[in-house]
Amino acid sequence: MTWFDRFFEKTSRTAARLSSRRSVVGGIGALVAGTAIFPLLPVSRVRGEEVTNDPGDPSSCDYWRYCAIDGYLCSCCGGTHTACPPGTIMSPITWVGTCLNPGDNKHYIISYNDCCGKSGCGRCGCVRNEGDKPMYLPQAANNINWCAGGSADIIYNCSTAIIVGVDDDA
Amino acid sequence: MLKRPLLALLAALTFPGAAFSADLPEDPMGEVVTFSRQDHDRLVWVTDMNMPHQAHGRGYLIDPDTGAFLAMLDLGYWTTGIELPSDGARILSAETHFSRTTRGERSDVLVTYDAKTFQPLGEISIPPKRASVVKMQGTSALSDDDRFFAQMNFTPAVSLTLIDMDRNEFVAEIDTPGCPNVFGGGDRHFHLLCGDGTFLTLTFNDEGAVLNKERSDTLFDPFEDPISISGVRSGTHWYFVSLAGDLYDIEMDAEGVRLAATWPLISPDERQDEWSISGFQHLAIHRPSNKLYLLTHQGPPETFEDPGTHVWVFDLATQAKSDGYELAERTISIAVSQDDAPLLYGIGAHIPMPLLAQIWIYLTEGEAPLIETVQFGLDVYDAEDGSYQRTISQLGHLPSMIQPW
Repeated sequence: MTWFDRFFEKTSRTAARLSSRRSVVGGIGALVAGTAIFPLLPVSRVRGEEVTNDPGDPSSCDYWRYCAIDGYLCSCCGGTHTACPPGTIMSPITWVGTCLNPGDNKHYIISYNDCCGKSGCGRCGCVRNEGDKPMYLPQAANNINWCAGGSADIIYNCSTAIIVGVDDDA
Repeated sequence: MLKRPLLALLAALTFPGAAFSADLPEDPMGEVVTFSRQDHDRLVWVTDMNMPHQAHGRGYLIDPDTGAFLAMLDLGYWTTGIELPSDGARILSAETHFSRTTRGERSDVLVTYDAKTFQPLGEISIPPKRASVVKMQGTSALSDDDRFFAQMNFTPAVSLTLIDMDRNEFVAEIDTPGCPNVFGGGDRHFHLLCGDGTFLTLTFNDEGAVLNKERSDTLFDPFEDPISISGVRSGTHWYFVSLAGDLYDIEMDAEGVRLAATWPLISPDERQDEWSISGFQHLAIHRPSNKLYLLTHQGPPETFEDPGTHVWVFDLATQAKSDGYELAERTISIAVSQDDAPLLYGIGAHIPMPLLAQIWIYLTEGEAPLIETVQFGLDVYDAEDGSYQRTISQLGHLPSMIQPW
């Protein structure tokens, strides 16, 4: 859930309390709350294939793999959630997060490799900070431009979310 | 025959000044407004990394009392902010530029801007390793006598660039593995925040040669509850807040770095109610009254960078919460002026439409079209009671740091 979701959930409930048209706005509040609690339909699209245990839309910020992301979704920028857009280069080093896959109830280690060499895509900005740490703990810090050190230097375009393993300890 | 006089009468009635006033004089060509600090009681710099147009980082100079937008600086690719020497005559900016905007040869430079004309006075080449990160605090620092400038590097190897502003030259790149963020505290000392919960103090001489590197004790648990890098300073004391809401009063000087005190800004009961720190610049300080301001909101732990809804005020002498108020806008950074009737500044995320329209769009089309409408502005409040004063709107695309000047 992004801060927009939380904001509108709370705002709608407040409006419901304050409004004389309680039934109408209260209904809106319930709808928003419902949106927040069940944000995704179980639709999966991975390169056009149905993957039943990888639920969600990779072009949506609510997709489970994006639990610790901070950036533009490559799925909206000509790439996919695991591949960079044409003309960019994937950063070799990055930060990792641990996300729970609701499809199989397992925690996966996700590598958020940035795609570099074109300016900011500007589409599908997504900030979710589960497990995010300050930049003095860089391995878990999403506030760093991880294009640094790659062959395209620090020109940031978008971010991917690549499974690198199952976290058995989570 | 009557038609022309009738039209003249109608014109005179419609535009009463037009019939009898002289023509406006011609305007002079080529004039440029002259800026003078003396014309303004208070001034604020807002720095903007300008995502997704991050090749064009910018700084905006604002008069918070009149709401006037006064001037701006171009700060290069993915700016991490400016430093403001105490003489008020210069603005320092470590910048990255590419010869073909987003490709070609990279050059990193420390630029000195004239604080009256906003033109570059000169630049010093530095290693092309300047860190590009989202939070701007702790990425650069000035020595207390303004002579040495320190810049955080990330390649992803971590190091520090040291520049002598008197001799206008790059001095050295110092390896600081595990310790990226730099804070001032002394004329010949910089203090770096490390991933093991310690600080590293660098002591150097007048030539910039490092004489000593000293580690502090472990001051916090970086894994259980790390401190945010967005600290505020009063004298030799720096104040940091942990992600869970504990304040760390840390003393930094020639003797090194020590923990002076720690106490909760967010109480256990408030944590139960999911009160959390917020935004990028979570803390502000009013040094004359020894008051600390915390940007807060309600949300689960991972929302510590979400925009804040409230400001809580603490007395640093008694460690007690003395006040609090709700902000007019969702806010990502705060700062406070240092005069006797202080203003609180906030970078607000504004959605320029009525609330019910926002709810309708959210329900029918989701959050994406609303996010596209967000405009950032500098909101000005009375710091004493939180009363809203004004907004300076349309400040770029992701302004995140406020520096009273």
